[in-house]
Amino acid sequence: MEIVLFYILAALTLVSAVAVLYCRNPIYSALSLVACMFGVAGHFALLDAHFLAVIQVVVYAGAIIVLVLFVTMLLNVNADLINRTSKFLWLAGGAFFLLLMATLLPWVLTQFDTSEKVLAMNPVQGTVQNLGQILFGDYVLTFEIAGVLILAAMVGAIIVAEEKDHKDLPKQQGADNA
Amino acid sequence: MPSLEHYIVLGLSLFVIGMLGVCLRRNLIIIFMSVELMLNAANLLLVAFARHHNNLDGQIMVFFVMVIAAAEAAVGLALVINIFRHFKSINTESLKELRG
Repeated sequence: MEIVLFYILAALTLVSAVAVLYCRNPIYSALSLVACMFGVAGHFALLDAHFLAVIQVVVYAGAIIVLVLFVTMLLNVNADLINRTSKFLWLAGGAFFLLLMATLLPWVLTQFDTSEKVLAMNPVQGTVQNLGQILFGDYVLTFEIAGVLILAAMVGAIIVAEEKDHKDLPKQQGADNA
Repeated sequence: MPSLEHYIVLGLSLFVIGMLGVCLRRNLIIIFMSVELMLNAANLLLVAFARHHNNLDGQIMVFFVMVIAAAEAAVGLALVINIFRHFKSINTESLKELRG
């Protein structure tokens, strides 16, 4: 049963990942990436990482990709003005993909003890309680530093994206030029 | 029950697809989304190995990778906005002021 679910989720993830590359319109690519994030969230749930599955949907699909969509729509890019990647490059990319899988996979699969073909039968569940005990126990310093990092990134992003002069805003009557 | 090998193949495929996206596409937004794909492949592998070793530290690391990805998304998109303001396009072909 789980293996069928794994294959369905893997198909969703891989097809939408290829669609991210292939779509002409960046809006379609962003929507395919949302589907890919849902597939990965399903994989997290299958691996007993319940908290991470929810966080994946909320943070990745719900915030980061929405931010990407906002910027795409703000920049108002015409999809057909961007130069197309030639067919030869796509074929070379596909060949490179197959070559990499053929050379890396046999080596990678021998590195880990996958002799027990099944993952652990009674694993530690990735619930909020278990993760919270570790996060605020062993990793509390990293957690605080991550908070400061997000604050710094937010301030930095606002300062970098701030318009220096108002040339690219639409003219409005009585708008102040502060 | 899927074994670790299934997840290694899936994670590796996702990562290489993301890498191809960075190499083959010339739209800055698509390149950015391919980088997010690579981060997701790494997250998937981290969770798979956490399950394999029956240790939740891998999932904590995924939590922090998501934090870093969110911070990187904010700053990276602010940079893309500035690039668009200066070059009036987000094609990487137009970002060649340093050349010759």
